[in-house]
Amino acid sequence: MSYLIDLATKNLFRNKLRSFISILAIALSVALVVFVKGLVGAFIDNMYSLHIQYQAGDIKIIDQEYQKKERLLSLNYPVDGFNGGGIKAMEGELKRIKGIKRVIPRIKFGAAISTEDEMIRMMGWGVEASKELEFTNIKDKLVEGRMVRRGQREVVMGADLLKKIGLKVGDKTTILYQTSFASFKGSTFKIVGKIKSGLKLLDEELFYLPLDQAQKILEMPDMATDLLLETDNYRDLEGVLAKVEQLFKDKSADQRYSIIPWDKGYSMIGMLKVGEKIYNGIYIFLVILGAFVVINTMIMIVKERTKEVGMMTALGVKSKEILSMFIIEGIIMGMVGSFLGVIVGALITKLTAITGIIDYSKAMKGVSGNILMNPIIRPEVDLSNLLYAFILGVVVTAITAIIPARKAAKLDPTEALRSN
Amino acid sequence: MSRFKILLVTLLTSLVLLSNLAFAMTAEEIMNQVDEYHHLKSAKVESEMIITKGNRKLVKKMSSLIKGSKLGMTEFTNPRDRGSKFLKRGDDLWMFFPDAEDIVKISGHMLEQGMMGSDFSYKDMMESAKLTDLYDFKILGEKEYQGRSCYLIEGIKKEGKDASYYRRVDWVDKERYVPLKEELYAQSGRLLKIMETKKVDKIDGRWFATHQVIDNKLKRGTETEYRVNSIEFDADIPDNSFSLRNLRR
Amino acid sequence: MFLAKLALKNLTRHKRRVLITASIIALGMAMFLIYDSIQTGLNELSFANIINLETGHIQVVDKEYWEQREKLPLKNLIAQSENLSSVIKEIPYFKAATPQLKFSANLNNGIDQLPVLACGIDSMTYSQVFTTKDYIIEGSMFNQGKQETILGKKLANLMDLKVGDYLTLIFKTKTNTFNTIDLKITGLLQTNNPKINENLVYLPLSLAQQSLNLEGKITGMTIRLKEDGVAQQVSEDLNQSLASLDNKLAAHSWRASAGEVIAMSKAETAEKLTIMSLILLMAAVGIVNTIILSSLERTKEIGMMKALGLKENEIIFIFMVEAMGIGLIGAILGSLLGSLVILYFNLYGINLTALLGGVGDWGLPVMGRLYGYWNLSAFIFVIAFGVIISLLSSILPARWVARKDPIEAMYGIHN
Repeated sequence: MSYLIDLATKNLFRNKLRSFISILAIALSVALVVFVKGLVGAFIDNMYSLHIQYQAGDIKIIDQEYQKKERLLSLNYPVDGFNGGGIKAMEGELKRIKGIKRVIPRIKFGAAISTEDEMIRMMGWGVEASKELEFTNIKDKLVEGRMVRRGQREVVMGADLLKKIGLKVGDKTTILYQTSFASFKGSTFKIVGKIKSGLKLLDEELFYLPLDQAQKILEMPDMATDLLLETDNYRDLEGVLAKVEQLFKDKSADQRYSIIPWDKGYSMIGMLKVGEKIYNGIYIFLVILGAFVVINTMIMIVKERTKEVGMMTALGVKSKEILSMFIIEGIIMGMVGSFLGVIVGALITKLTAITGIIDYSKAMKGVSGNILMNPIIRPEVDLSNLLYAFILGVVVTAITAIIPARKAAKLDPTEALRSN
Repeated sequence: MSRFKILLVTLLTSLVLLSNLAFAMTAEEIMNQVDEYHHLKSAKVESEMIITKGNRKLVKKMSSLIKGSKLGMTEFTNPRDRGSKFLKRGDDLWMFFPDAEDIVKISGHMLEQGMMGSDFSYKDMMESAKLTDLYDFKILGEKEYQGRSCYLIEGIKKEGKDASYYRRVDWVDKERYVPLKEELYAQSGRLLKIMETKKVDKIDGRWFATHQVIDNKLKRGTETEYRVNSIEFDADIPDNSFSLRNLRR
Repeated sequence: MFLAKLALKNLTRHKRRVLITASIIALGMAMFLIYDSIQTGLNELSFANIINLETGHIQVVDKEYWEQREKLPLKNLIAQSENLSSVIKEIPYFKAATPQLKFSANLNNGIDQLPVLACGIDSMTYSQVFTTKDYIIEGSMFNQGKQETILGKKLANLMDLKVGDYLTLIFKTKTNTFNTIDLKITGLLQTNNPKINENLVYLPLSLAQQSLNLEGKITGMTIRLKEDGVAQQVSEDLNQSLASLDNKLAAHSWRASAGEVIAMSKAETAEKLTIMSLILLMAAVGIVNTIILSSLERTKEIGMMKALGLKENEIIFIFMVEAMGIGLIGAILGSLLGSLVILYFNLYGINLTALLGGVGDWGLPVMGRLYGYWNLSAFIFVIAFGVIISLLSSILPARWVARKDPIEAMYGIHN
């Protein structure tokens, strides 16, 4: 077998230019696959992770009534634990389930700030700062100052929101809200951080404050409006989900609360999943394009070397071995091309990611704050992507090499020797 | 019976008739009197508002200084809202919260909101014009209510005037000039609210409703009660009690 | 020309190679055409959704109202007048116009209250301008002048209402006086536009005007034209006519309100260009490959040609024409293939809602049936580029080929 490989390699070197062009074509399509996969992956994964971080968690627990009237931001249907036992206790029970990494409580409420001309409406998120910093990417989005600290009357706001109210980091502001007992109140907070994320939700619509402060001012001790759960692997929720549902059933809380996994019940996610599937087909297609060049080359090779093949057959080389030899030639071209393609692809991908030239910011200007999409798309260079593209390149090239190779193997030796 | 008797009867009858004429008041005059009694030239009031929403009950206690229809300062004294104050000055509404470092001016949409979850909007409370300026009143008749004899008076909003309710029907206690019941209607004729006076007290020579209940007919199970615990009329309140500085303290 | 003829004859002699190379190009071109068609389809769909459900082609409103339109004020309204109607009817491409009165209200079902946007419409002319009626999934449109309403099914569900139930709208008139309207629900909507499904309540215009004490007043007139592309131009002309009628009026084309969708489509043009360049790169590589391969194969032939006296330039020319030929064939094949697929999409469309399960909360109106679009410019572009790129990518290889030493060529070093 090894002599076949040697032979194949030698053959490739016999016509360097031809081999080079074929390798180039494969490299190009493989590079393309790496780039597009990185792009699409970044786009979709980005939307998934933003969705999980800010809307759904891996699993979300909310009161069923709250879910129905979600747009009203009512404080009348909070998550207050099992049988009123408070969320701290609930968190303790949930953490005991294997697979649950973190429990992230949030209180969302409507608020307003009075400026000279008008009252600006916004949404407040009472959060546990350390958990938010770990679970979401908010750390990278803080362009000025820092995140809020537990126990302090502080808020962090988006850059656009700050502009709307005409304040900056370091200023104090009085925020008006209605407590869960319908008392209209106002409290003064210090602005300690500014966020610029490209997400309308974070930049324009909401502000962060410490959970304990929110609980205090809204008179919601040990409560939250949403409870987000982070699991070990968001792509494999079945087991954990079942355990959580069991826990709630045991505590007779399953009639009151909804347990929602991140990928069910959100229609946009369904759409993205379909998109993922469509793209897989496109990659294969791209590589086939490059493989066409290989076919061209192989056919020519076969034609050129008919005499040679005839000679080999006459010398006793079996047709299976001839077949293998040509296929190996194809595979070698495929491997070298794919390897080069992977490197070039990775480079291009990395470049676009670093420079951030794919920027949809302008297009996202008017889109609803519910759409969480990072406008600057940074394609990712993922080892699995590279492997996928490499293998795809080699396999497709090998397959396309089969046809001309079989032709060669089937040649009648006498005819072959006579040909020109 | 002589001519003399006939004269006497005629005289007496005319006297009675005359006296009736003299004492027959127009709807406008009645409502003016209602306004008068209701109008607080200057007063210190301790009151409370009880808001019932389904099975939730909220109690707000207030301490107010009122001067005429343009100035009013109210401080909440119930535990949940203690320290919150609001100041009405003409058309402006300012609020102070103990947890806030500065006062806040309330404008626009917020004014339409129910105050502290009640059915009174801040705008309702700011309404300072006299009833007779906003409505054309007409006496519909006389009715008895809670054992008291009342004028039944209907008011229709004057064209172009800014008032929340298009039509109101008041049961005004004849003797005391206090509305014992009030029905408030939307322009479509839909009954929006019913106000019933549960208690009337005579304080400093005038009759004043000290316990009222308002039922919102569009939202089931909600009711707002208003009680005046103490009121001092014609108190001496200096103007600077209504300053923004005073609000801040 | 003799040389060209020679080139074309050569193509027929190497059919297989020509076909394979042409196929590469064809496939790439077809992909581009299909992508372009679907892209355009998506754009047209979102535009269509906006035009059909929200903005019509042109809106005529008071200038000051337009600035504040988000707040739904009850001032700066315009009066319905014969003059205005006739001015509007006279614009080119006019198809239909309808008046609307929008105001904010609370929807009350006896227990709860929810803030909504109420819209008084004239149901007959409304259906001529908007396609909202097509989205009534339960019940039917209300009768003009009756106390009836249609609203989004989602909104109705939120308030536990169904067809046949009554709802109350409570709102304030211009003098801040409370008023209510009781309406019977005659139909429920499910459109592609989440804003409409969750926020809008439609009622008869006359009823709205009466209840707000705004008889004869409307927020604006919405106009539908016979064609989509002319809106901008027509609205500019209309503005001129309006100025002479009443200089407080202004006409706004739908593009003024469709900001985000337009921005999206601009982003897509950039995408398209990138993809096109990539496809062209592939095509170029294919061409170069072919030429080099064929030249390697035809060294003897080239030697012969030189020996016969053909100059280098002429040989280059032959190869270039061959390349162009391949490019052209590829482009035409690609166009045919693309056409087939686009034809299918054009006739049957892709049912997005079924495919993607009805996305509720995009904020971008992108649902419904997606049709492929025939973009003549795309086809022309593809064919032209196929030829041009083949030409360009053939230059260097052809020169390299033509320079080979005739003796070497004829006797073939490696054959």
